[in-house]
Amino acid sequence: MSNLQANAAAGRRSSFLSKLRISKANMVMLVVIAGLIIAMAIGIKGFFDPTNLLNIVVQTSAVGVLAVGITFVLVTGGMDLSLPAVMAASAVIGGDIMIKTNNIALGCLTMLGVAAVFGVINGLAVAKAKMVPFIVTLATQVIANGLAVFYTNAESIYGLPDEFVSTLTAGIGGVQIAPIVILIIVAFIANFLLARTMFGRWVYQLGTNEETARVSGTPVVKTKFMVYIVSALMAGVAAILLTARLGSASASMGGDTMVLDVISSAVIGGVSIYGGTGSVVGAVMGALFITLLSNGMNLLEVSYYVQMVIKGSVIVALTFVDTQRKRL
Amino acid sequence: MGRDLGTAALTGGKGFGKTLSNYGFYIVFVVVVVIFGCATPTFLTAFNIQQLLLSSCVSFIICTGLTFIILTGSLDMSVGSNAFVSAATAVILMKAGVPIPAALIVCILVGAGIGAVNGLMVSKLKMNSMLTTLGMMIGLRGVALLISKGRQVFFDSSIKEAGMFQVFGFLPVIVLIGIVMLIVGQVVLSKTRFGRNVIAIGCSQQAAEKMGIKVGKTMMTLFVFSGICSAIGGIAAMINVGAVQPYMGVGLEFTTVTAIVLGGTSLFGGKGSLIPGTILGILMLVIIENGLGLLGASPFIYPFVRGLIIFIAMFADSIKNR
Amino acid sequence: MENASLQLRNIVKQFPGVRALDDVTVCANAGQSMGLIGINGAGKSTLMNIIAGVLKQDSGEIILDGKKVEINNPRDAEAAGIAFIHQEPVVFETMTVAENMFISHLVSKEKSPFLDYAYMETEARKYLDILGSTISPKAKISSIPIGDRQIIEIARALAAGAKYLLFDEPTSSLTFKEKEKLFEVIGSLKKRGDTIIFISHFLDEVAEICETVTVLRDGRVSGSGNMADFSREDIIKFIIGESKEKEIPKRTAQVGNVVVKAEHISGEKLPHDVSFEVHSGEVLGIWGLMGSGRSETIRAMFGLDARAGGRVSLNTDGELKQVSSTKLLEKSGYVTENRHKDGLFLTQPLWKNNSAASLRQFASKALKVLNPKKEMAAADEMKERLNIKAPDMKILASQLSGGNQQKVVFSKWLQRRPDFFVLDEPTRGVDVGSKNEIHVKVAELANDGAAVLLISSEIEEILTLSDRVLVMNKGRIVAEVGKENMERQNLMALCVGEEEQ
Repeated sequence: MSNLQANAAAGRRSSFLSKLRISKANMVMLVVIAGLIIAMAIGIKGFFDPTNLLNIVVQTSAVGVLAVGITFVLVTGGMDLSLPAVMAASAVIGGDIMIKTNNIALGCLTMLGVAAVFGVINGLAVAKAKMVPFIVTLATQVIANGLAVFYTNAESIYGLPDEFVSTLTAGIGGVQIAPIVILIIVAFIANFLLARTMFGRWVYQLGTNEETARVSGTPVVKTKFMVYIVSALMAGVAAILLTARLGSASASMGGDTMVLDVISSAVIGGVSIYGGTGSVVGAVMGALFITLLSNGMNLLEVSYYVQMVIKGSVIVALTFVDTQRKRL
Repeated sequence: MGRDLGTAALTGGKGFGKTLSNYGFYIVFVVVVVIFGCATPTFLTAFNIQQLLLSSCVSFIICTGLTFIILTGSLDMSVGSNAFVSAATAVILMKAGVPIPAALIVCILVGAGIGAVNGLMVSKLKMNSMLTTLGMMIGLRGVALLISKGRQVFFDSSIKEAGMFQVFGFLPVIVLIGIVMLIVGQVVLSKTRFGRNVIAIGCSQQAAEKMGIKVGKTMMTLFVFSGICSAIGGIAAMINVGAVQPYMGVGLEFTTVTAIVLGGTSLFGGKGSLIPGTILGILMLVIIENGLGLLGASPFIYPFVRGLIIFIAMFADSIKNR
Repeated sequence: MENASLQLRNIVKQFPGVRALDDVTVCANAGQSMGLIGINGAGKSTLMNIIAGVLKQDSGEIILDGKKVEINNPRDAEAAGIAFIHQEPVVFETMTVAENMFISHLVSKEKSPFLDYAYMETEARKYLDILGSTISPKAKISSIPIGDRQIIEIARALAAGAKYLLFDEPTSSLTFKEKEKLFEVIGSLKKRGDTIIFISHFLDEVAEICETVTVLRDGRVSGSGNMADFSREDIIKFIIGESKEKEIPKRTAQVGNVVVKAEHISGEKLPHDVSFEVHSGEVLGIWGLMGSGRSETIRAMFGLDARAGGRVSLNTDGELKQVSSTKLLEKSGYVTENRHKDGLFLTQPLWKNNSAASLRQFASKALKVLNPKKEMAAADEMKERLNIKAPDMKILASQLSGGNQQKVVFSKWLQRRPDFFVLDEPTRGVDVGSKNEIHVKVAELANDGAAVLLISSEIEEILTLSDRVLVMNKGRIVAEVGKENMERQNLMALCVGEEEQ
């Protein structure tokens, strides 16, 4: 599954699939996932339980939304480590506002707003001040996490309005549909933006060759800035989703390993950390894959600590694969 | 990563600008000390100064190795987790009856081994050092939590006594070790061939290769050294606290990088020092937090302070060196 | 020739599709300097890379002081006493002069791991003195100007025991004073008995400093011998050979109004106060040798490099108005000097490369949604128009040959239908067939009414395509030549022998 081929294939005519712009690489991914699901359904007890499937759905939607966001940043060759922390900070502040004013819309807007502020900080630092994205977003992560802890005094925020929770967790027969729908809508819009608009083309250009892009008249600084806004907004959306599901918000919502899950999702889905390749669709499928893996490990009662080891190893392995891909 | 032959460096700063750029840090350092000294009477006491040094010693040790890595333009995010794993290994062995010196040696070997794995991936397999060591950071934390079962682990008090023994009547052993390491590191950096090679690699990896410097070997050595420093740092940390704790080393990679960049070492490589750079960077950070603590600030604001500081330091770095 | 200190005999080097060196024999003597001249692509770099150990010859021998040597890598070359002084000095910014000089073999004190700075600084002083330089060994490189950095590289070579020094276009970025100093240094080296090979485009410098000369053309030696035996015309003839007939469409368009005007453009280093106008329907050539500042002028004009002064005006709606560099770039076509660096998206398909600079044409009004079908159709059209040899426009740019890649770059800008077209070395690294096709296209562009600015180091290219030619040297325009006066000798003579008083 070469990314060069994937990109070439993306432009090839082939009836229905091309309408959905699903490339060959993504098809392979789909098959792998289907295989994994079948294997898990057969091999693992409790996989096909409605509660379990519910968990998978919700987890995928949160990680998926974040993976969608990080795809934009990675394609330009940047990095964003702050997403889970920004999500937590947005969730606690927005959630608190929502409870205090009993205004769902205001709460959601606050979540998006807080996230956007972090996006602006990242964007300015990387695009205008030309600082190193890895360290910049590491710093924003620390700040966002600090903000969340500070704001909540390290306690959880409970008591979100019922209407909020029920709308965003609406489902059929115990399986929550709402989060999936939101993920699909977000992914669809994002994919459209990245794959089919001028802005999206600029994003790929930046990651392929920034100099050529500059000479060709692409607004380099603006585009670089925007991708960090996009990823931060996705963190805001994820905050909305996750808060609704949990009915609460806290500074540690993301968990230690979420940042790895998000990056792994994107890289497994074909996005290279060196920039220039990958798609939103791939990232979402990568998120599904990662969530299935996590879920499987949970069901097999693999200890949290072992999962940390596994996830760390996965990132290392993926970095290796990505490095080899680049050399080809 | 390396630096270009920029003409910006040629034009440098003129007069006031240049003075500010070279000495700005020292000025701020003195100002901060003065402010805290005036603001609270307990700041400049012998006891508090000893506290400051104890708070800094783990960073002294770990930053010795990390500064070298950053000087070549790479990063090592795994230092905190490395310290944790190594320290945890040591105490587990001690609890199992292994004599203390042997356990400590194994601890350092573990740290070195982890460093070797990092070095292999970054220099031989040419993997991105940031992401690779990030993965190691999480993975190693998992390993450490596994072997310590997520609980605090105590150990023989004789180690703590030895570590805290006050040399010259006021300087705890672990602090002394940290200072000595930084001094030795600086001497190696500025007065040996190895140290000069490190700077050359940071200036330009290609040029260094052209000049016959064995880049791969050097990088490997540096990562192993950083691993060893992490292990020793882990021992110092556990002596400081009295136990190996489940959240040991969390955030350490961030505070150490902040201190190093604050001390004038450029993230782009090729420029910086352990003394006076890193040591003052560490002290500055510790002083700010200590001072704020004495003034009654809530510990919750420390992340903001750290984040703000690294942003300022990185901004200055970008301006001076990009 | 038999007692020459450095001999290269019957060197052959073949690259896929191109014979870079075809039975080249070159000799240089100790205590003398041999000038090596030729246009880009004539084989100079390949020959130097072989001596320096970066490349290995397919056949032929290297003989140093009568002994045959095998040079398989740069270390062998260094061990044999060969040093390559690069055009851009290889230095480490944050280290001192002495450290830079000894970096590949830093000296420690006896039985100690510590470096013997006293020794190195004394030795550095010694070699710097030989070269007549007053640079302090303790100074940091970052405080040393480029001209002096070159001296440091020479000192480094001497400290490493070099006897054969190859200078690659050493004077391109030097001021007049620095150049004089360099020549003094070379004089000192000759007195020591070292062997110098001096590669340069500046014939007057070669005449001044070299006792012997070798001219390469198309991978062969077209002339060599004592400098004193040749006149300037002889040398020029060796360099550019006889003229070849080319079928370029007659220039039919009338030269019209001024489309672009550049005034007093100055950059950080180069250029210095460059002004010119380009009219519609005209091809304005800018001729000059490497380092004369032509590309820098264009980059400063378009704002891609920092501009220290000057302004640009564009003819918008019939009136010449001052515009920002960004606006000018938006309305222009700019084929850059190095397509791999900033001309192509190598890992993207050709059709995407084609529309890369004109996405707005293919985007919907409101949401800026792109229309790949339209893009691919446009790309196919360009493929026909420019005769791009590819199975289809969906393959990646990296898979094309140099000539076809250059055509893709062309198509990208043609897609914009700009009024102003800048071409910087448009046929560099391009096969003869594609080269001709590109020349035809350039003439067509002008005939269709565009204003074309053509930068080239190739005399023939400039002569056959341009209506007028500006000659640049060291960042300034030194002459303007109209159609009547355009002959090779004139141009060569004009850019040569320009001294700053």
